[in-house]
Amino acid sequence: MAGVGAPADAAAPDPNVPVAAPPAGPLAPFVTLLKEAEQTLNTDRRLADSFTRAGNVVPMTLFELGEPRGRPDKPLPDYVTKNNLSKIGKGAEDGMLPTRKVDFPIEIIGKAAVALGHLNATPDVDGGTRTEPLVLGYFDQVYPSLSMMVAARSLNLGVADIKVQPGEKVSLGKLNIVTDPATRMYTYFYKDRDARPAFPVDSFYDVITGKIPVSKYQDKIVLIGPTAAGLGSAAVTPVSPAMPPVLVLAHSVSSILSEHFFVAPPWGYWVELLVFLLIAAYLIALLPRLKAGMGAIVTAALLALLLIVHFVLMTSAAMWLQLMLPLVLLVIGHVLLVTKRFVLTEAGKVKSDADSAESNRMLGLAFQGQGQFDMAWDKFRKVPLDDGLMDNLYNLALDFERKRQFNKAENVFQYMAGHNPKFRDLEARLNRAKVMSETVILGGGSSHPGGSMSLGTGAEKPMLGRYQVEKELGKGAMGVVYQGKDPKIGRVVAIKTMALSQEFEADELVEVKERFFREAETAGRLSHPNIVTIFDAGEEHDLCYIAMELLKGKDLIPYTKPDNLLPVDKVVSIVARVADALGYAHKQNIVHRDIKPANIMYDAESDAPKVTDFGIARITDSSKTKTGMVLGTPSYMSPEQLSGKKVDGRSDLFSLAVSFYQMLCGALPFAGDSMAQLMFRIASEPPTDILSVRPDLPPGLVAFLDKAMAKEAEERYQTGDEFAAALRAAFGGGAAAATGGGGVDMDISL
Amino acid sequence: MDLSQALEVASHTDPGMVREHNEDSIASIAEKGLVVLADGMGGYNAGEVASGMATTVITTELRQLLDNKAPHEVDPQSGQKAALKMLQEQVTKANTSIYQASQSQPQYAGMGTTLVIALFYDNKMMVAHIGDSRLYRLRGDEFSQVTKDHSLLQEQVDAGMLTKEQAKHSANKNLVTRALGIDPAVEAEIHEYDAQPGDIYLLCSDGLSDMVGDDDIGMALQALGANLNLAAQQLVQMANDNGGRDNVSVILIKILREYPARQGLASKIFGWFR
Repeated sequence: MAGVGAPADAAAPDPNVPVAAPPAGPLAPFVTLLKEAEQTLNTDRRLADSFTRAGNVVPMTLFELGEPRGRPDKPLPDYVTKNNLSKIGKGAEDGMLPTRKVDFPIEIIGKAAVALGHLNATPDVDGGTRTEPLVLGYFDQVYPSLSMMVAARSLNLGVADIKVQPGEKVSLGKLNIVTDPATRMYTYFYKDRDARPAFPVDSFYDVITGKIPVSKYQDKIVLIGPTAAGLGSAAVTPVSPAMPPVLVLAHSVSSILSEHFFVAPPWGYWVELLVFLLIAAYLIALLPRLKAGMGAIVTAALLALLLIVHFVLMTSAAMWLQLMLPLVLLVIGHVLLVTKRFVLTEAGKVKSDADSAESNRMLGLAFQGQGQFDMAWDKFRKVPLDDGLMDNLYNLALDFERKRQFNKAENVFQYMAGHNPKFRDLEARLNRAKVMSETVILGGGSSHPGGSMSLGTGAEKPMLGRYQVEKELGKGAMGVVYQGKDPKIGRVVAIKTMALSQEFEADELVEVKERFFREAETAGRLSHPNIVTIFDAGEEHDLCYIAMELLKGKDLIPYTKPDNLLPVDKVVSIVARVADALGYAHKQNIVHRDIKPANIMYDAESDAPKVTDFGIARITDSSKTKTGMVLGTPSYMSPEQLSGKKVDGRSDLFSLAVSFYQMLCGALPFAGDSMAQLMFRIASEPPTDILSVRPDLPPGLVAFLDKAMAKEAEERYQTGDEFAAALRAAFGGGAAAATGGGGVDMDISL
Repeated sequence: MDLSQALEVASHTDPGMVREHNEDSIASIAEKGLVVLADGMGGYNAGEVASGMATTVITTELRQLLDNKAPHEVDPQSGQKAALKMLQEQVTKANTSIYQASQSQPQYAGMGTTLVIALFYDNKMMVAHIGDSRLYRLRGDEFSQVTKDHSLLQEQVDAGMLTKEQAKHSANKNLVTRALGIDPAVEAEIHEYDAQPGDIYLLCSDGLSDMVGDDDIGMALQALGANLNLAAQQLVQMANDNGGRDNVSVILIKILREYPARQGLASKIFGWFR
């Protein structure tokens, strides 16, 4: 139990114990034996003798920590009190741990020892030993620790050389040890290096048996104590969970001598408090306001900062600021706050799930109502499938079908089949959607120039606006023409579609569309027996469309072929009526801009010519990218139109005259090998003499045509009515021509 | 900015004693200062679809709009507050959605809904309403109706054909002259009012105003104004006690303190912590 500092042989039993001389007498051998026994069996004395001989042994005392309540039982013996240290400053009670009782070695040993030191450990609240109480107060006396005494002795210092400033520092000669407020030193615990223990531990047995030569301990501090497991009370230290007290002592002695102890600066307490409060303030005020991610980042940063500061101070400045407490507060506080937030949102989530399902359904319906089926589908998919939703989905799928988006319809049907494959006619619809989605070009004619809509059989009739598309009538310059039907009033219409978004760049598209609808609106105001009536205009997908009167006949192009010409009186009659129609339109300030045989519909049965495409025909004039294509051949254009000037009705009449010329003789008045040549001819050369192409035409016609195709607009017929009247007059009486041709004209043509 | 500190909102909706479906729909976003109440009509369960679409479309869209633009900002071109445009646009959007849905889906044909929206900002309140759902205000002892019904009855009263007393017993109480989703276009009546701390605003469907007299509603609010949740439940209970012939919905908003719009840098810094 005793810690003994001395060369190792000091504790070994001495074989050469002096034996007193035997007294004379019969009892002499007995007495001698007795004395000898007294000598050999009195181990205390033998130990004391050994201490005396060594002269450098420091045994330990043990204090009972605690506030003394009265006075000591009796004064301590001299050999104890001689260790009483002198202190500077405050009283013994302040600044050092008080004790009320002390166990000290028996007199014989105590007197033999060179000094005494206490071996009290002061574990922290967590049970770990990190400090060494350098002094303990005993009533008004101050007693040093064994470690400090050993260190002092090894420096050949005595009790007088030790100065204690309670709560601040202890001076061993010139060596200053800064302490905590209880005059404890923050011991540095040495780590094992390369698997070698910091302090060599030798077995006592090896020393006794001579296995280890005693000379090994020459000039060294030797600490003696039990190290085997189970002997003595092991201490928890920063480097080991179970360290024998003797090794703790070794660390302490070494810390003192090497000045490796940690220093807790006097202002440390305030700094620690401040950091603690700052962390608390962060947790209270800032963290709840931060978003989760930001909060985690800030907390992690603070955590790292505290750790780094703590360890940098410890390792480089040997300064100990207790930052672990704020650190623990930070971690626990953050975890608790995050948990609370999570629990709260979870609770809210369960409630909002039901809410959001309903609101998603509503939003889906809203989007579907707005025609945004894809977004509607997105929303519906977030709603748990139930029977109520099946109806909504079914409608959405039908909407997709009507838009010819069969792959999307199929997706919806398949999604529905996951809930109830027997729903209505789901199976049949799913199969058909599958077939259609494989065969049909989708997405509003994405790859089909002119924005075609495929008309499959057996599937939903595609819708354009409110019109059911029934069949394709033909392809125009800009798009396909369909026959459609307004299901509400049963009117059959022709629907002309234009894929404007393919013809135009995105930046002009808006403007073009605006213009398209403006033109359609203007044309919609026209009401004339020889003008195609426009009912409606709209936009669907990327298709713009115009719904107009469905005509039986075809355009006049077939009658411009030399071998298929109409009788002259017929031609005159048609052209005159077209001129009437143009006159009507021009009075309303509407210019057609693209009069040509292709834009005049004619039904031979009812003998009714109708001008079509009013206003919209030249919608693509502004197209920058595809001007050439849209232009086609400008054979029917007036000179002013070609030069890009503002055109009026007289330009239409010029074009009508060109068409008239072509229908009379099957050739164009202006022709050229190239576009440039053609344009030059229109602008500056007179038309080819029509009699050179068809000599049998009445000569009056030449004069009419010359005037109608004059280069200067002022020189032409100024209005449609004037044009028609002149035309009819040129053929011997307007009445005959106006009624659709009489015998006289027939004779001429034959 | 977050108005949830300045406004206390409580709401309650109940199918009433007679109807099986609740065709009313209510929604609120306290932090944005937005409350919406809609009373749907239409056969089967189309009414609840219409009112649900109205509240959902409006709260969803306005939440996003309000994130990006402060309602008190004045548009330099029109000289009008952003809130006005927001409300007009969203009412139009909701109307189009409902109208199109009723056109395209046979089971929803003819559905429509009334609507009251109150948007609080900058110590003000902007109210948009269509139909006969109402907004009342309790300020001090004075309890008054803020909105004017778009109903045949109200027009008759305005025209002097009926007195208010006669109107209470009129047979055609439920004929509204304006509703959301019935026609392709609709115009909401929108006004802005000052809001003062201590004010209590009540949005309700006609299930409450037809069943309970204004005086009784005002007294109940004065008595229970300190506990909005209780007040909301009490109002519904009163309507049900009187017969509860229609769905009853109420939203109560109490102004706890002033809520001026935050300007400039401070709001940005504060906003960063949101």
